[in-house]
Amino acid sequence: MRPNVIIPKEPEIPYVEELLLNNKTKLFTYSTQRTDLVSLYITVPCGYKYAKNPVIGKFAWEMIKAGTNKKNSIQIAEELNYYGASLDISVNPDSVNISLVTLKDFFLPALDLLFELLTDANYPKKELLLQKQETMGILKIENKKVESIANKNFYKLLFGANHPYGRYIKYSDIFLTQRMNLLNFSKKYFDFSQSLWGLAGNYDDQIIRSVTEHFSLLPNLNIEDQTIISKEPAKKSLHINKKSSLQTAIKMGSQIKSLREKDYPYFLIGQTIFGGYFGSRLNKNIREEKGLTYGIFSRTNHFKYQSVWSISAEVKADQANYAINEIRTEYEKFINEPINDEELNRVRNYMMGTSLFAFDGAFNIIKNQLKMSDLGVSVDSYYKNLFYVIKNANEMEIREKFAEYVPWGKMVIVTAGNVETK
Amino acid sequence: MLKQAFKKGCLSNGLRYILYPVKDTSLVCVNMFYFVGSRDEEPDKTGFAHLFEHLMFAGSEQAPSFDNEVESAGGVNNAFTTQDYTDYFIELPADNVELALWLESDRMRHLNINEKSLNIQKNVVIEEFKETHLNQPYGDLFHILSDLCYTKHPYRWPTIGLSPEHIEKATIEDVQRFYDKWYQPNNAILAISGKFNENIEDLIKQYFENIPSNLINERNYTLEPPIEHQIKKIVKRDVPLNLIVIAFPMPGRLSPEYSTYDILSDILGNDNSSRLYSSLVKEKKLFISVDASIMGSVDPGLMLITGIVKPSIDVSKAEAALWDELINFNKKPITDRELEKVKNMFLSSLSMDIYDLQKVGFELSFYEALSKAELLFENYDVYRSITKDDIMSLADRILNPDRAFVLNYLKK
Repeated sequence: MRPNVIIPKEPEIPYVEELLLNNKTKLFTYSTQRTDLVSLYITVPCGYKYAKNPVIGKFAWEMIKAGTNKKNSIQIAEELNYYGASLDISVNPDSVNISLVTLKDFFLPALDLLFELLTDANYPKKELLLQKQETMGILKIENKKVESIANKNFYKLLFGANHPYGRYIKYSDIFLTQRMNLLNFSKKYFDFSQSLWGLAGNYDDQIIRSVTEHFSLLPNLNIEDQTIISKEPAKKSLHINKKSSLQTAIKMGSQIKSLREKDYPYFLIGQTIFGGYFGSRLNKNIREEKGLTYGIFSRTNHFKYQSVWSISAEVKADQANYAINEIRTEYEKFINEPINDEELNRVRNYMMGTSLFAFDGAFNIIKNQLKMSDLGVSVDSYYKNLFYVIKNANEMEIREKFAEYVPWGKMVIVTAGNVETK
Repeated sequence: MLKQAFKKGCLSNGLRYILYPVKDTSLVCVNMFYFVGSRDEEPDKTGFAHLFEHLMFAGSEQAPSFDNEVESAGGVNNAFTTQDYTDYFIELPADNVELALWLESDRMRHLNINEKSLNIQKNVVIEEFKETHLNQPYGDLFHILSDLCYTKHPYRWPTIGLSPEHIEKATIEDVQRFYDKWYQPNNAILAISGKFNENIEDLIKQYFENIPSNLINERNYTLEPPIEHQIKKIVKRDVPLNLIVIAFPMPGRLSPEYSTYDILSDILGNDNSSRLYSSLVKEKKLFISVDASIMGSVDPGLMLITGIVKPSIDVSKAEAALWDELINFNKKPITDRELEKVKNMFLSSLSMDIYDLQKVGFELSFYEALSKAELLFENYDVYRSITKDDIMSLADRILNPDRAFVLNYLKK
């Protein structure tokens, strides 16, 4: 017999310690004895928007591992591997996210190495050449995939070809990037004055002290953040023909209001019901009932100055029109017909229960803290508001906010595949 | 820290279970591992184990909508199929662990098998086949490689299947037969990791003890004969860059030499300071990337060296340089630090795996299915005990052009 389901409780927002590294920079910490690992996360608000050519901003950060005045790339890689460390650097238009995960016993030397990379990267010419060739290779492979083609053209159409959120990397950007560009970018924009720091795992006081000391020696340039303004797109649809493709990729959506808005959780519930989880309307119809795709989902993507909502799917090549029509039908149904209690309660429980994942374990807690802080959102007030709305929103409020956030008329539709969509 | 306490048990019907308590979490993961994968398929109905995985979400007698039940309890679920096994997991707030046990027991006992869900999931899986294999650059690489390296063993087809036509052919009778044959309690391992109460074993008994079991026949798949000379294949496809794969046969997961192969592959090409990467990418500038890995299969499998050749470089020149590195591996002795490096990386990766509730549940189940769950932690001691001589002696024996499969996957 079916056991009683216990309605997921409102998660307790974990207490994260905050240390001031300077008047604008915080170090968030959360410890656990459950592991021998320590992770350091750094978010620096100096992404590639500061460079006219996005490759310059990306390479300047990513290639800190390519050599310093004391070590070459192989020595750096060897040292990191010896420490059992993984050093990931991901650059977006607004920020760069650096994560160093390593065994506790090796954290201090790994931190010394990271500091050396951040302050002494020298971008050897031969390494730049290799990086260009590798990036060119990856781009060539990506340009064969309908999903990637649809994705980058979606953002291009949504923001414009020269907008930081719409500009994608071209072969010529890679070709034109020179060593001097990277040196100049790092000199000008490796600014840690407004960075965010997070420490998670099995660290001790010595590790905290060492992080604090290293931070104080990093460049503090106080550069002013470049605000990004977005306009509504002029053109609303685009098809890219890929004759040999067995599937057509669909990417559609629009700019939306920020998650900083008080009413955002109402939209978030609506978007979850519509396409944001496995049991969503879109997935039920287009995958589970019609078998048109392996997966269809909608999601939000938050840039610092503009949020985006989008739907993605790869469908049978000749059925893209049909799938888009079905998405439209589901949309109309969603905003016009009441959501029944069973579905609404399911999504309330799902959202409350899965909120626990953001607070489960030291690494998730600190990553989430940095992500929200970078977007200018207080974890405490965001989640308290979210939990309140999950528990109290009525079905009409959810549909109204969904229609307000994503009116169909604002929808940008991009397809890539072998059948022209109308 | 690494060796964490867990408890094991076995019900009268043969279902083995593992309990891995974690203190600082409010979640629990219920992992159900079935020891059946694509190696257990008929050669004319490949891709079936994976198709069946999809059907396990089509509902059961008491729970017509599996996903709705999990989502209503605030959880998520998923599954994956390999050549050797199929793994299902539900991760949810700890208070609802009983619901997850009920769902797993109901689909183990009374799966809802019907034509409608079979037909829909055939379509879904065919779209997955296209999305992940047919409509991607290099997407058929493992089809070609499996066919090249195996002639007798069922590893000769990949988990997704040989072709969408095989998926299309699946019948409701096939589904029922497969379910009856493999989805038995004595062919499954249940692992619960995370937060749970002391009554968890009572709940396991309550939901699973009464499920009858069938005899699972011992597998006796034909092993590949030893390779006596190099077997090479060249294919041309619409891809942007040339790719070379060299595959060396290696023993199965329980072989005493398995870990030595693993460490050898790490020294060769697991990272950007490895021998192949340093030499062929950084110094000689012949490849865009090169890496070495092992397939990790239960039965004898493969160690793979994969390199993407730079556009301006002739493929035969790149391949010759790759062989030069492999053949001359022992001319450059392994240093203490080099060996320590790969062991530290292994420890770090293991530490990450056991921090993750789903991964630790799966790993413990996998080792229990193979032999015993304790191996997950004992493995680290095994890796630590491997010496430079062990690795060099293995390299001497196996890094031989006459004992390898070679694939040149070239652009048209």
